[in-house]
Amino acid sequence: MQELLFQLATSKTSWLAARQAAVAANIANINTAGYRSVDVKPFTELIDDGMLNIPNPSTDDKLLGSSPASAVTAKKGWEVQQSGNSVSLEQEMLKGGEIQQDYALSAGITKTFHRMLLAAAKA
Amino acid sequence: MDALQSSIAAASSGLEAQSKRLRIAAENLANAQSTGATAGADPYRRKTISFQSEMDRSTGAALVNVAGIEADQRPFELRFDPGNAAADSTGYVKYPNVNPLIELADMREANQSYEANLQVIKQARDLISMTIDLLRSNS
Repeated sequence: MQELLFQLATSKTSWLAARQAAVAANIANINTAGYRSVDVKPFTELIDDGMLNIPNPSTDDKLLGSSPASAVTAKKGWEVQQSGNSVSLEQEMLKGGEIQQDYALSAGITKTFHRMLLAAAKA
Repeated sequence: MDALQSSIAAASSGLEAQSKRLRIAAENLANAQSTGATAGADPYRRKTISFQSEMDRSTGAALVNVAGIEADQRPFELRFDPGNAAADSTGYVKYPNVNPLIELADMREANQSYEANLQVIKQARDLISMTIDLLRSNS
């Protein structure tokens, strides 16, 4: 049970890091002609596909070693400019904010859970 | 490499590209009145810059770099000024094909994109420090 929660939080943070890398690539290429914005696959989809190293309690441990960063897909942005560039700065900034919040949540959960484990061990 | 490190690498390549673009806009603006030195000589020709996306093999990040700096082939502006040293036999002087308004708008856009890249670096740094904070005990 404990491993499951820690692994879920770790997968989520590494997924968020991959998403941050996608946002960084989009923003770096904001003035590149013909560049198409990219995004990572949604986290729930990755869990459903069994692409994360999360042991499934019902079946056995299945460790398909595929990092979430490999699941980068070209995504349709809000607008496509004349130059063929589909990066929207506003959209990327929103994504950045989301990533920050979710990362703080994951880190907070990990921290709290670790404190709970320590409290149980000390008691 | 770590995804957060590669996002910082991508953002810093963006910073570099945008600062080069700002440099080109500044060069154009500085030379907006640079005529040729001899009679009938060509004046300063406006420069343009273009970017391309490049995959960095070591980090897997989509970096950006300068594809090339080209000369703008639009015709020069002719002004009647017989007293000028660069005037040709008919008294016309060729002035650079630089439009200061376009350069200012370009500078503005470069500035905005630079800020966006800086913001990405700040965010990645925040995420890294959140991870490091997990190690801090009792806080």
